[in-house]
Amino acid sequence: MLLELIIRGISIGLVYALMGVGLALLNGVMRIINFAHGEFYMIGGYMAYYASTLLGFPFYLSVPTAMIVTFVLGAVVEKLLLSPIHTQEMEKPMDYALIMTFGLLLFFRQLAIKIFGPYRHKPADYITSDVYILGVKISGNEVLAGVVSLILVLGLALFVKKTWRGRGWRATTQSRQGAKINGVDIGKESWIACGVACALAGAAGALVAPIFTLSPTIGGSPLVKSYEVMAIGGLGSIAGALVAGLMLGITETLGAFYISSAYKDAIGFLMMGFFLLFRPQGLFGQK
Amino acid sequence: MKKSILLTALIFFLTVFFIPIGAMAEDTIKLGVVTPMSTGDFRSGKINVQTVELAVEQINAQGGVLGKKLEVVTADDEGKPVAGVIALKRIIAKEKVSAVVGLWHSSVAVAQAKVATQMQVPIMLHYSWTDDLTAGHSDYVYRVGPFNAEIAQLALPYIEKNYKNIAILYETNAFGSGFANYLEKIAKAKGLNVYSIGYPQEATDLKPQLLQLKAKSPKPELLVIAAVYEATNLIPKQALEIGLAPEMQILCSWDWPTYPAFQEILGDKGVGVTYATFESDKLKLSPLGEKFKKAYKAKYDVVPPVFALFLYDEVMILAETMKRIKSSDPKDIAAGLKDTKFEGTTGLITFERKEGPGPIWNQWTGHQLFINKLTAVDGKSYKREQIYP
Repeated sequence: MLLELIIRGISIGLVYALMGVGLALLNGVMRIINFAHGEFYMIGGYMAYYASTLLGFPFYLSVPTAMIVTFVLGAVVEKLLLSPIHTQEMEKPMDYALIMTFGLLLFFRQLAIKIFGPYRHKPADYITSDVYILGVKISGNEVLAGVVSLILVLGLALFVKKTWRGRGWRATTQSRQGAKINGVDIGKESWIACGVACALAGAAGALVAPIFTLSPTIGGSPLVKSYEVMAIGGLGSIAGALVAGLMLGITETLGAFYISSAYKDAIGFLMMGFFLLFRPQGLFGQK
Repeated sequence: MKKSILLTALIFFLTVFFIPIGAMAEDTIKLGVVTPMSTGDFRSGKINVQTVELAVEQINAQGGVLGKKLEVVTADDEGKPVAGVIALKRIIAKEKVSAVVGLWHSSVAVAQAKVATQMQVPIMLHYSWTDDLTAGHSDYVYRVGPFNAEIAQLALPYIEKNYKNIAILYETNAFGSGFANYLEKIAKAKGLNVYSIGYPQEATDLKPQLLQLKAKSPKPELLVIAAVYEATNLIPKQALEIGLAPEMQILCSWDWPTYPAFQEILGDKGVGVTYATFESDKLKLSPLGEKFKKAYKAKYDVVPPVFALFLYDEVMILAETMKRIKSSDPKDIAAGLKDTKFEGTTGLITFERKEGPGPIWNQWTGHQLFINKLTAVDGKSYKREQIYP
């Protein structure tokens, strides 16, 4: 049973990491927290659902479709609503973003109820058969969600480390002013980073849609998990998000089993509280 | 002088144009229908309104009540407690209704029951199951429909006959906790081994709870799911994914597996799932029940669901009570309802009152419960077979 719990913890933890890494990226480049991050998860899920049911796409097309749509949506949101943060050189961008993205959360949720309806939907299983890992039976969808999440997180880490744009993002995370002086176009990088962050949330939603199914209100829980991952891993750290996601997934699963499932969500809060008190910069963040 | 003339004219126009015609005429007896009409379970709300309209049409065709026509006044509770309370207060205060029917969501009805008691107007519940509704022992709350404890009680003989170790997975809200606590109590009293686990109603990942059940020894042979919200379809799905089911049988506490979303989410894996229901071809209908079913089908071109039968009964009971007590005053009706003896659509309806704590207060307890099993996928639904009684 312990092995089964750890494998399931890793699988869900990788999805948490994928959610958290987007939020961490956005925080690093734009210095804001996106309260509507969970809504992009929801929209990504619905896009994958319609791509698979209406267009008959297999998962390797429906997940990218969800990512493209959420990327465009995220970029548009940045251009229309969040860009005043850098164009107007706001003193308190976090306050502005908090109000704006919270309004966006309510808007997307109500819009989703109108467009998608209040009832639950589920795309067809991406993988219909079960997979056995070290003798433990796991659904193919869970394994796929974990593996693709890991690939996307590592891909992002590689992109940030190896490409010019990634180096620009890192520079912006360290010093906005310094990055600007060295030729980084903050406005352009902001909308691209916002699009990428939303696309990662959309990918997470699309990947777990056959597992947890879809409704317009599913964005709340992933949003909370993203914060926990970001707080534990460290603001703006991709490696931190990956480790924190895994830690959270495994601890939650073990805690829910050995302590009580009633406290499953409380475990994440406790971990976040511990880090905020004793290591506020998180696992990999800088003081 | 000019000012006072203008003011008088204004008051006159406001009176003429804004006071409802019904209130001025007072030649009708108003019956309120407060039900979800725009959001929440508005589809069922529509059936509620149609049922009341049909019943009132029939009553008026036979001469009405106390020489007056019955008039239906509707209000939308949006399936939300706050909107539901406002709608009920408005319909009582402004429309002066004699009684209110059609209340639907339990969480909304709990708030509305307090308002009805406070404003001393009787409400009748036809398909809101929470025990709390009648457990308050209000003289203004009556229920023809079933309630949680009754459902658990009616399902127990089936459970007891087939299983020794059972698990209950329930939402920690009025509906889920009430159902689970009562079933656990009566099942343990019968010597069954019961594992009971609650979860928040918004939860979507139920695998931690299911894994706890998987590790239990002796293993549960039956999983009873008491849910209304997010997890209804997810629990059977996730139980299958972790290999807990189909070895362990699943019993859903009401008939959500007949909804299209269940088939979309479970597909052919849903075959074998069982559920409790009040709907059945074998439901014994009285001559009144057959008459209503025929009239409803003729008017709306669909067979009425079982809750429409209970609602129809309630309207007929209200009309019969007003005739019997020769009054349409809400307080008199509330007092008169407790002496009801009405040959309803599915049996003789009387309202029981059991002293001491409990939900049996102004409550009818003569319902017929059935257990069905999904046997095969049938297009976007399933073929089903009645396995109990």
